[in-house]
Amino acid sequence: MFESALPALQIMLSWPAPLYLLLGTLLGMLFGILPGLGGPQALALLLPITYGMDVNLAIVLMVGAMAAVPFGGSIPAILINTPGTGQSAATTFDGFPLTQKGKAGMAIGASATASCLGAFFGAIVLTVLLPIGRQIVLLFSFPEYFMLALMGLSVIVVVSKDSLWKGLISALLGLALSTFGYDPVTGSVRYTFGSDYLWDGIRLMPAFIGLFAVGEALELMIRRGKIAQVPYTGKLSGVTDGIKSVFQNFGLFLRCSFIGCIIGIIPGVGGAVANFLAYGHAVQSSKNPELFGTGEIRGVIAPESGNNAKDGGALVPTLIFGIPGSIEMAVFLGALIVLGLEPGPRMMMENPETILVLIYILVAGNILVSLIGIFGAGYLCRLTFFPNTLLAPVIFMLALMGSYLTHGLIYDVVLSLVFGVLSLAMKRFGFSKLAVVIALVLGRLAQKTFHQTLLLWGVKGFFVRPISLGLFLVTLAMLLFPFIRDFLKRRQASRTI
Amino acid sequence: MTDQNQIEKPFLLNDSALFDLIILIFFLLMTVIAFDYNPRARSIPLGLGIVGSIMMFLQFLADAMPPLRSKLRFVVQSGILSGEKPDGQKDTQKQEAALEPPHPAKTEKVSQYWWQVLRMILWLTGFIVALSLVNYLIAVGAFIVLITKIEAQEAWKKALLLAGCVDACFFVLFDIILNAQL
Repeated sequence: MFESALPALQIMLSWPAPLYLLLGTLLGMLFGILPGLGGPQALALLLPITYGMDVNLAIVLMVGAMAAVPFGGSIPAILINTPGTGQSAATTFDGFPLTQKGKAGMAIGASATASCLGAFFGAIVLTVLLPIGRQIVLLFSFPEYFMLALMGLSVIVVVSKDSLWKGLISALLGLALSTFGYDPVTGSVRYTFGSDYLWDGIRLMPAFIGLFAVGEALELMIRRGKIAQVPYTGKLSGVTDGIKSVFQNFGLFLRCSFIGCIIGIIPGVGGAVANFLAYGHAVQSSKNPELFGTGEIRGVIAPESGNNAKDGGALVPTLIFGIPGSIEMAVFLGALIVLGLEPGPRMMMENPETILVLIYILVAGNILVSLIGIFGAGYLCRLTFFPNTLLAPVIFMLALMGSYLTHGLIYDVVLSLVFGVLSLAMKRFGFSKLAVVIALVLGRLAQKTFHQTLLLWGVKGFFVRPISLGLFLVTLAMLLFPFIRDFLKRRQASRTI
Repeated sequence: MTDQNQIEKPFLLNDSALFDLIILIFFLLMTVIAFDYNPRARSIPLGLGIVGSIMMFLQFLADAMPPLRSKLRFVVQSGILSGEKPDGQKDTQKQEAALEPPHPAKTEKVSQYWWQVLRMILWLTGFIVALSLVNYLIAVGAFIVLITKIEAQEAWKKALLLAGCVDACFFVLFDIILNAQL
């Protein structure tokens, strides 16, 4: 495969491939920015356009769009507390407080750099793993999935900032909501209250739009004023500091990129999980966890690197087995088949150049979107100096229409409104929105794999498989570490006295 | 004097307690309904419902009965981990503040706040109804014009300009680019 490296580079650089890359990237960025739209919609839109096109050019266009969506989604997450895609939800937790402090430039700089380098990391992993990816994918089964979900849920204990009690209640609420709908293990339909709409459970995208966008717009409309709580100076500062911060926290970046890659490789886990696990890891491994949620730059670097590294990982099962790990990958897989390619082990033998073009574009698309983000940050950040009373109605419309557009269902819009009001009330009374979101995302995965493990192996199934046991021990260590550290500090303090 | 009376009240159904009550009812309903499902399907929601109900009940007691707050310290205290300062000392000020009942001087502001929220909910409900009845461009345009003029009290010109821009963007994106049949 590696002897095709130079010819693939030549394909990528020869005209009109750079133009297609630019067009794909701009489209992906736009779809990422708009709540409710994302990678699947961008790819679905490009699918008919690419029909009959040269295979490599079609891949340049589509992968360029795919690469730009995650960073595109992070821009509104940072500027207006509204994640453009579900994968950017964790970026709001520290990205938006930074904006409120007048440090939007720093957040965007860090996000762009972490996204770009994360994608580069993912592409390296993809290149290395393609020959051995099959064995890695097969190592993960239900107990490992459950332990991954448990690891993600353990983050709630650390991120419940004001009250651990309320944090746990919020997590229970999220887990309870995740039990709604059709249970794939038992076949029962739970808590639908006679509505067909709830058969699929609480849909994540409308719920996220409600919790973040609608809730935030309600708050802006009531609070009035402007998002940025500092006066407008006319110039954007801090972008360079944001870029530097990624290199200053390079260890964290590498660990979170690795987490993102692993999550991407495992089919069906999803980008939102990568985002939260990376954020959770940053909080749990920090010496100052109390700073997270108040505008901590590491809270931006972690989810952004994990989120973008995930794409490289997600292509491993898609290209090796032809198994799409997400909706976005499913659409992409369909596009590859339409283009006459056959994803699977044979593709690596028959089309090594195409695979390498795909990997190069993944990196190039991210570099391009990051540059656009960094240079366009000044214009984007002006949004935060607009009066809230003019910004909030636009956010309402973007959010609710985005929610409506996903499935064309009015119930999705109603759900977004309900979650928006819930978000507002939770914030007012000190309940953790973050805990609800984490539990809602991971709850379904946890309960499904819990039952599947019990059915196949019984309770011992969680502890006899080495990776599952390893993940369990890591989770336990992450939970106990702050308590042990606190105990040691207190003992040291008492000895000093 | 008024402050003193308010603090000593044994039962106070403030907005916080009311929210607790709504969530408590949700958990209780969940628990009761879970009994309709087969044992395997019910196990997780039932467990979540029971634990959630107990925790929420204690939270409700702490919020609605100020004298109980000192006895339910574990409910109202700051987070075990995040209540720490970087040097490892507990943020005692924050914890003490959490033990205090809500200030009565805020009562008027509270009702004003919820009145504003209710108005916004009605606006959004109106938009959803309009969206299901008329073309989305009309619903979006009308919503932006009315809310910007009436709620935000901006000039007609600004409201119409904003609505026009948003409608134009949506038309290009949804109708021309995406060809979405909305």
